Amino acid sequence: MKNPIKFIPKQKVSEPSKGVAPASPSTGYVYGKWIRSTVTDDDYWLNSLQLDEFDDMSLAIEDDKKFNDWFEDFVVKEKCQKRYKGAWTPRAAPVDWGGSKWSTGEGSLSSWWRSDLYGKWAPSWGNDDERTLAKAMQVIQSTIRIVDDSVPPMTCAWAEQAMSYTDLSKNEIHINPAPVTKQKEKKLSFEEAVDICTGLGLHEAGHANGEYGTRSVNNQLLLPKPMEPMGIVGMLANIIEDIRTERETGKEFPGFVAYLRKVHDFTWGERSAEHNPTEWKTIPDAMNALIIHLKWPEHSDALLSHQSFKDELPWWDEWNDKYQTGKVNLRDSIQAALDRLALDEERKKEMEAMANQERIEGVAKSVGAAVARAMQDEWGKQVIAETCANHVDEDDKLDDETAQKARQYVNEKLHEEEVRIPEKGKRKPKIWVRRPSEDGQSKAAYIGKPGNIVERLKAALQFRPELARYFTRLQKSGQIDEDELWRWGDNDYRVFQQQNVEVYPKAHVALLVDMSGSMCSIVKSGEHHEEKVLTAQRLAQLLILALRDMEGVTPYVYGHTGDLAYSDSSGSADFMYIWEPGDPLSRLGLISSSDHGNNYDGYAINWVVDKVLERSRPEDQKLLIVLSDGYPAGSNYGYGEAMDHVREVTDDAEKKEVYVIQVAIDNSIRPHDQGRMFKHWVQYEGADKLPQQLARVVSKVLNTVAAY
Amino acid sequence: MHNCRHGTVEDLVPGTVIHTHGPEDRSIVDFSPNPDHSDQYDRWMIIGVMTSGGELIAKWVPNPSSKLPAWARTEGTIHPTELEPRLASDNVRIEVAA
Repeated sequence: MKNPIKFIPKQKVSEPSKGVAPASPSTGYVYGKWIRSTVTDDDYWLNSLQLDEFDDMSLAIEDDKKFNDWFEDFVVKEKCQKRYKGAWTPRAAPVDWGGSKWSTGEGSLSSWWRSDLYGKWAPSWGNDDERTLAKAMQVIQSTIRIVDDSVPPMTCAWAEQAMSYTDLSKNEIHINPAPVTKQKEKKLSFEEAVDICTGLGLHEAGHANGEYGTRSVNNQLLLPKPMEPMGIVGMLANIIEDIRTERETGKEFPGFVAYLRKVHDFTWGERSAEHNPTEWKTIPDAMNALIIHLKWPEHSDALLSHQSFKDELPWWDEWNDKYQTGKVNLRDSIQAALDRLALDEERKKEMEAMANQERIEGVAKSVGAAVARAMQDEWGKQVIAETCANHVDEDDKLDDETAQKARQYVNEKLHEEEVRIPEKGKRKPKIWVRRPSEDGQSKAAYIGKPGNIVERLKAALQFRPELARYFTRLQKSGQIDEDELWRWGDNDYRVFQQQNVEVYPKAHVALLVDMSGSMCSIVKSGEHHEEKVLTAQRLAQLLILALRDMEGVTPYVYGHTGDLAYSDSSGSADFMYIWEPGDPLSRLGLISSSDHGNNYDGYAINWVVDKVLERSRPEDQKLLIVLSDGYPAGSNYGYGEAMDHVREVTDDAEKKEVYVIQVAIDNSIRPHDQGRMFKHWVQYEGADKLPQQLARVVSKVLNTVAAY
Repeated sequence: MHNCRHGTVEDLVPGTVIHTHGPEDRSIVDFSPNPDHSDQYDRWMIIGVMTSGGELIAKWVPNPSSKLPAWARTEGTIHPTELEPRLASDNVRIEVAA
């Protein structure tokens, strides 16, 4: 009886599952299956076409050996993907990560997150750690969500301690940032750094996975009572759980195997030689030897050549295999390892002392704290290598400020964008876009009750009313509807119609606030003096209050500054979503409370014009009011050329029927320069005069009747 | 280096990354929870393919390069039978390491 292949699951290959279309590629979709060869005991992924051929050949070839030979040739010829097995087998040989196109691990693996993938690739990440980390983290978070099946999702952040770890109790994954922050030192491209950090995250997400991850077995170490010494327990569990969860992640997600392989190779390269033991003797010797032998078996023979290792390690191979194959549970496995280590009297005393000390220090029930304690000697020197897929180096530690800022940028969805119209002959600044988060400072900076000119502003902003007309027919009163008169003969008196006229406007109004440093200087505002940025914030609030209640009018507030990333010599512009309908008005406090840098006015206006075009309806009247103090100023951006750039952008906007009006908040405005930049502008002379000023210019650009 | 190419649903294994982009790509729009914003989708997504009860299910998650507002960057799943016609689009490519 021929039976060379085991099916997984055991069913006829071509038999479609419930709800899945038949196997013919011409009639619909059929997913592939893993097929196991009994010759090599490897699983191969066969797509539906290959499964069809497999079925046909299975029927056609009677002889077992011939069919086996055909299958082995077939998977090579078709380059079928071999299922990932993980690092624990084959023993003492280079790690078998599978040989498919998905697991070659050469170069960078994934670039799906690059906004210019199909265009010309110019690395534009700069060397600003906070922003780089923020953007990389968003990439990693997205990928990890494929593996992380937690509800709610795990929180994913950069580790401040330069090591990756999973905090199951807090539902958090922490990823070592060193590959990203130390790209140059580690000779990594940014893409490779993202690959490695993604791999670290996938490794940690594997631990967190509810079905197969460490989360599902972790309690065995603590119940019915905590094992001891917990430091050794935790390290041993980490070793075999790293191997098991990576293997399971690879089985579940073969497409991610290459990331795990990259982490494997990278981490070995980062590993310190001082953690290579010379013989199997002390507890640190044993732990370091097990990490090498079980996690990097390809290096075991070279590094663990002392006879004591040759005598001891076969037992640990068997110990590991029993756990990996599910013959022994985690608690029993760890207990067996503790018993084995305690066969030596010196090690036994060492472990008893460690357990006592853990109880004294109150870490006996905390795996993480006990492991951290056990890895160091009494002088604080790290004597045991990391067990998880990462490397600790104090120099790689993320400082608190950078970590906090990176976390903030992730929350604010910091990302890069392009604008349509660059300045001619100049290098474009990097465009960073985010939606800043409110904080205590911004809420405190919110200006409470505005002045009493909101009603005057409402009157000033006269938009063209829509005169859409339509008729409601089949009425019993109104104007005679000749088309329906025939009903009268059937005693149906619904022969009247009513005309409806919509008189409210349809308008999209964007405010762009200059949040640059020059806006922090003082301006005379009516009878008093204040910072220009506060004047701008006050005006934005007044305009929003005036506009948001107008039926058919949708206001938005954007802000801009630039060169906050000081280390970036090419210049960087920061554009921000400040307020939109539904947001609390207190977000306007961000205008004055945020960091103030330079101002790339032309780029900012171009960006907002594009937002207006994206967010508005074609029939909307579109208005952009720029609240600024005068002149563009950025890295390699300023003077006449930048003014001309502003004009080019505003003229382009007007061609697209987005009318740009500048309110110039400065007492020393040069009309010639303002006119060079803006076709429509008014000089701010105080809030009380603004309604009249705006009324005139708005009526002019929108061709409406001025209220003043 | 990475390599993006057109593919079919049979190229997918769990963990495969699929690129999508293009404002004109109406097929991708259907991933959106809000069809009213379909004209704004010159965007990208990652679609990881995962297993669920023995079947392949494509799970899509937000791409940080997306210009979509945060509220629209949701995630979800789609059955491969629905995914298949979309893979033929010029704006959809499957990523493989080369």
